[in-house]
Amino acid sequence: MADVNLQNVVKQYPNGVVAVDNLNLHIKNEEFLVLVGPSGCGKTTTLRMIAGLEEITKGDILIDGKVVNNVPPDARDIAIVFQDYVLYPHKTVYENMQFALENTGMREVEAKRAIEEAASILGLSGYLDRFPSELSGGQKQRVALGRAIVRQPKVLLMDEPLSNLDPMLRSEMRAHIKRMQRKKKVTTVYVTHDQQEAMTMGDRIVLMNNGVIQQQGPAKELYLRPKNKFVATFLGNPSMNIFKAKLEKNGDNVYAKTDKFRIKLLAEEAKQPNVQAHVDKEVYLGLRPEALQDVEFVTDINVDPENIITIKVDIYEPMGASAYLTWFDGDSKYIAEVDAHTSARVEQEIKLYADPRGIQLFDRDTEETMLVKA
Amino acid sequence: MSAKKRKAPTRGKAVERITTGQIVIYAILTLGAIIMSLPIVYMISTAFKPVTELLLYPPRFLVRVPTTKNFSDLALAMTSTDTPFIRYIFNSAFVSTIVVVGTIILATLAAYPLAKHKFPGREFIFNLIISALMISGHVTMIPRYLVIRNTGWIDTYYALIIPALAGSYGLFLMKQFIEPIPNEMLESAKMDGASEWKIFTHIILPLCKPAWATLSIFTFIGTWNDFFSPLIMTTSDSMKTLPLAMRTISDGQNIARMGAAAAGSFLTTIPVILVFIFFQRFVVETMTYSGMKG
Repeated sequence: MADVNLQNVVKQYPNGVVAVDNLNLHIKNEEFLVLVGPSGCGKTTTLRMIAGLEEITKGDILIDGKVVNNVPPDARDIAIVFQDYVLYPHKTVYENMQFALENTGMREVEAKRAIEEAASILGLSGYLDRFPSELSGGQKQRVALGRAIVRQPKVLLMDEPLSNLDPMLRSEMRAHIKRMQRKKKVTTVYVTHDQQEAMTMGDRIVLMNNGVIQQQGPAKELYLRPKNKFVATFLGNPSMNIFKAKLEKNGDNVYAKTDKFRIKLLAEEAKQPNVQAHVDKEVYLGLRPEALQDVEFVTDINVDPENIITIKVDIYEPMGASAYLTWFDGDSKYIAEVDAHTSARVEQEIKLYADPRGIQLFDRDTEETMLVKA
Repeated sequence: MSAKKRKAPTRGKAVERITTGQIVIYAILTLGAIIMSLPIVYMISTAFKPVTELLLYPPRFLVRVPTTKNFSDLALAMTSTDTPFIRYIFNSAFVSTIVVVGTIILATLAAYPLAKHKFPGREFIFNLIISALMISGHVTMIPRYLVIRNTGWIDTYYALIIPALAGSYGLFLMKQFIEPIPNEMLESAKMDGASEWKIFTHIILPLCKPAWATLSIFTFIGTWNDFFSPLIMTTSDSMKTLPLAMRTISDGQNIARMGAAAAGSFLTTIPVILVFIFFQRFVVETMTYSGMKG
């Protein structure tokens, strides 16, 4: 078990592309850290640099306080799980896990015990003498996981391990991984491009884009208080609606006005100096789908009658627990997640209540957040 | 689960309907198979023909009055040479086996770094070796002879084995086969602390089994049937291989030996067919290890 420290790490490929730009990241002992971002954001490169499979151009990587820049992968005591499982096809499940132990000099009896323990955690006990070709995708990935944890590495790295699995299996595997990580208490870095996976799994999420960390923290923190427009739209499914708006002041009230509607900011947020400084300026207004409610079903007594907007539904999607109402405005697409019992249907007009507590405002130029959310 | 079921895991396949297109394809394939097997059938049939039928013109495809006299003639011809016939068989078997084993080892050893390691000049080396594929063996025959003569290897096993090991075909085949093995597989082995040699022997080599089988079949057939190299590289009778010896038996206008020669060519193909059957099964078996991806 170990802590990993990345200090000013830069990765530049020979063709000049900077994959990771001055990254500073501290992964605490026993932490489950998720690196998330769109493809090409540098998350896999970061993982491969920690593993030692990729050289670093600048900076230092420390494991347990020791610089490992020039330590070869096998001497770092790190295990990795890849997206494509890459089990050894000519070895059985048992032999696949055993291979990882052979090089540690562990005695055969102990190795057997370790393999059986890993197999039982991962529900593979009945499959030890099978070949990978005889396993389902989920089982294969569990074997890959078993192979990684069986030798108790200091750090466990996972590179999109669930991407090849179907959605049902994914949630099952998520549970397996979390349980395994808690039991083994191994420092884990988990890379994914799936924001939902990131939000559900990590103690801490590190959201990257263009080789730079955009924001890090617990999932809820990133979701409720995104630092910029990228973070706001990347996390959440469906993603946050972004309207082009202008801030207007009327007495003490501040409104975000788009060309179709205007909504009033919370009084305490309207007072914030950054908001005051942007009055009469162009901003981005962000509203999550769940912050837009069918007025018929709003029970909140504090409803502000000014924050009601009328839209014409283009797509109606019942989701079971809720319903998605989608409408288009030019090239832009907006979604409201409303009560499942809504009477709204395609081509009908409906009134939505925009909850001011869900308002996000971003600077039009820097795209940084303007609000300090409670 | 029964042993039989374990070997070929199948997931519930839908009932397949045989289409007209499939019937046509099978018909063409069957016809092709029949045509391909004709020479073998003719060879077997000829081995059992009496001299009268051997000399028939136009020749008859199938034997009418089969006889085993050709085989006893062959046995007689074998015992009448100065060198015991078993020596030719040994020479052929020895040279072919060493060439097969050596080719597999050398080709795989050379192919692995060319396929999976990055080093300067890699492309150049590979292209150089591959360009050798374009040069006909007959063109290099004389220079090869000169090299062997200058090394003093004429009429030794070295002359038959060493040049045959340097075939570029084997390297090409192995490299193409190793290339698609996922890098991640080698990387995870590396992270598990496996040395480069262990990765080679425990991961690369076992995964190359189908390629070995293919390479073994081709190399064995090529070496076993090779007539030209032993012809120019050997001088003494005791260094001759089977094809050369067979030629001695059927040499010239010796009509009386025709039957023996026919029986001999039938017998010499048997090891080739056996090797093929053995390794071909191996190719199919190893193809079922397709558990790399979901």
